[in-house]
Amino acid sequence: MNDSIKKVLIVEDDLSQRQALRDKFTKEGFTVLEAQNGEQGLEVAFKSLPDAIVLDVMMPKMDGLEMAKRLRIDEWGKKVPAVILSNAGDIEKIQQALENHIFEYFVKSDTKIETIVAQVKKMVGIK
Amino acid sequence: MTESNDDKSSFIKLPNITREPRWGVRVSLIREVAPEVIVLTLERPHDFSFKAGQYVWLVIPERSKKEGFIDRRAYSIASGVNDSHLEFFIRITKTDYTQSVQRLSVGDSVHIIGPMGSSFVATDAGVTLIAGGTGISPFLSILRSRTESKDFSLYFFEDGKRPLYCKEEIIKLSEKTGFKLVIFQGSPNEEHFKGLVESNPQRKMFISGPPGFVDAVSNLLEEGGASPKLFCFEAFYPSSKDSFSVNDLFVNIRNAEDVEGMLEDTLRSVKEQSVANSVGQKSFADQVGEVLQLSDVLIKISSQTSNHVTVTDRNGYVLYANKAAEQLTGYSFREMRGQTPRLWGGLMPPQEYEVLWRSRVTGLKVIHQIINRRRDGSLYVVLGHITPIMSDSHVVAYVSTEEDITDFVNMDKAKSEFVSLASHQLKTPLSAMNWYTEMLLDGDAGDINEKQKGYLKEIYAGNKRMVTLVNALLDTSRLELGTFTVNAKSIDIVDLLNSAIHEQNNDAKQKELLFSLETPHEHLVIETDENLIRMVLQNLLSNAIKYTSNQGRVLVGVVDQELSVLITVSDTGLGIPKNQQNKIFTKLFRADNAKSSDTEGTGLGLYIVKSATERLGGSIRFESEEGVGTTFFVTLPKEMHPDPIK
Repeated sequence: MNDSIKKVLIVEDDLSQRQALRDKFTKEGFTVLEAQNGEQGLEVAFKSLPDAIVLDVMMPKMDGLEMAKRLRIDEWGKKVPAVILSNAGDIEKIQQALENHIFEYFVKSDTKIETIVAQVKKMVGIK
Repeated sequence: MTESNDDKSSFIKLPNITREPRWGVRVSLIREVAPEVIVLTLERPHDFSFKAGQYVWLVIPERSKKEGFIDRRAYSIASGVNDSHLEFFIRITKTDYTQSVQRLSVGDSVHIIGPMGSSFVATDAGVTLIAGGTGISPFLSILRSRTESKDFSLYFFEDGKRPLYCKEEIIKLSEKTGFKLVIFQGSPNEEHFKGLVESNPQRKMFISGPPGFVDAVSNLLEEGGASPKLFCFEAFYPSSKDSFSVNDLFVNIRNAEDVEGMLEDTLRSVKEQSVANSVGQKSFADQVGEVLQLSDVLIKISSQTSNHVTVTDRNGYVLYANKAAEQLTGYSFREMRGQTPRLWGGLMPPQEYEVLWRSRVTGLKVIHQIINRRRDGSLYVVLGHITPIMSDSHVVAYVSTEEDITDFVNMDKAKSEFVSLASHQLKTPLSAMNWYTEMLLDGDAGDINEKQKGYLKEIYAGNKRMVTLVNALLDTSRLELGTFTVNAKSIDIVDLLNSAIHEQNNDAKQKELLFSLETPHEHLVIETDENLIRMVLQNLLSNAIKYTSNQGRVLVGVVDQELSVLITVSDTGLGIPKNQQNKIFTKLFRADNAKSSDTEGTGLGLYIVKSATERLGGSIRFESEEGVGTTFFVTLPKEMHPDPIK
């Protein structure tokens, strides 16, 4: 493994979705780190310093918006590219969060998994 | 509400049972000033602020064998004003109230509530007070408190039967302070006011008396050229021997049995009096008689009904409440009587009540959904009906019925919440299914043959349909629950339309439709909520595309209309059958021709469009002809008003 292999952290409580994302990102050549909620996500993020983070909104213990907020307080966390995945129901909440912190976001059911990967690739500078 | 009699000097501020301050005061003097007229002098609480022209409720608590303490209440006018005393001129009649007054002796304690009404405003422009019957009463305090003798006159109309009960007092005052006193006999006519307006067009007119008198005088003055802006009037019901006030009637109603007996008695007396007292116009007794006949039927029914029924006078003071009203509000009739419905209501924004206020003038029945508060503080939702009772084109009372629909509202809310929750839960597996199918189709899990690919595409398409349906259900439940936070932002509607067209361009291309935006504007910025307006456009455009056959036309337009913008979406599609056009915005409704041409629709699209448009303060309509096409017209305000309360 060399430096050009990018690490992506997937924070998602739904096992089925997490597995789909893991498989897709792995196939696209990423090293995949996983977490089941925001709390675990922060722990893994600060320990492993991934190149990008993909996170779900609705999760137990700590939701994705709270995790992103805490991430953005940190020097490193401020700059790490992040993609927020949501169900349609929380668009307004996410839009409010977006006003303060910059991320990309997608509504899961309306987005191809390919599109998510393409976005992360763009953010970490893979052509 | 009892007080001990040993401390005669102190005033006791009673517990705040009523919204208006209520005071316990002592009677310090009772004197008869004319036949059947007594003046009651009360010690005045030092912090009781009373201005000339105002009135107070005088309440005489009495012990009754059956009920314990009950209030005898009357609308009285304090006429003497000084720092230590209040005076009430009271004509003795056969009503329970004045009989209670007669039983009073010096040192007894009574209650006063108020003061109410507007105070007299001094003006340099000249003043004429015009009084009919007992309408003189509020003027007495004005006349007593004034000292100067500028252009100031009092026109009094005696009806010839009843002596002016404070005549001597007024003549004395006129001699002392020099105002012009004119006493007429009979009903007012134009001759009486000749020259009054011409001599001083800026003169202020204070008119007081029974409603018919107040109306007659204001009409005569207006015809004589006086500006209604300078009128100030107060209509009173006379409460003398030969007429009955609605209030007198209801004051003692305790329960249904009492009511029937009382009504019969009162109706009989009213009828007798009407014959004896036939004046030119419809007498007050006749008017009351009409109200009573209505009330008779009403009260008999209402005491049996499960709905809250109250009757208020035209100022909104409760005269009657049925058992269901007691149960619903948690207040006893005794507590409600003399209060306004603000006791349990008043929680809605003022504009809700303005509609009610207007019915005073229009006499129209008003139906509305309101939230009330029980005695114990809990809230409940009612569907209220308010009907003014008219007599001679005057509102004399209001009948209000309220139906508790709290359970219904909660059930409806629970249903929407269930749909919302279920839809959320459905989305998670749907997203996973989408992604796995997509990966299989992409060959991520190994090669697949054409047949497998075909099947997977079916799964993928079916899943997409499900997502669309769940999204529509979610949008519906969120519109119904009002959980959309509406954020008005400046949005270029031309940009937004272009982007909405772009999103659906692929579907239009597949059907080879002419699909474009036509507008004279390059930019058109309005204040609105982006999510909701997108929802409106997405639904209208996808419908237009779905129901237009190949090579047809879907044209979108927008024009500036100064305060609003008009968005049009017009297609050459199926059209909506004439006999179904009135149902098209109904939830889950689909027109027959739409059902047969496309089985996939949810029946939610246009319902969402209409709800969302209304949330934005806009409106929607359409023109459609079957087989020719449909045009939807959406009007949106350029600036959004604060979120209307659901």
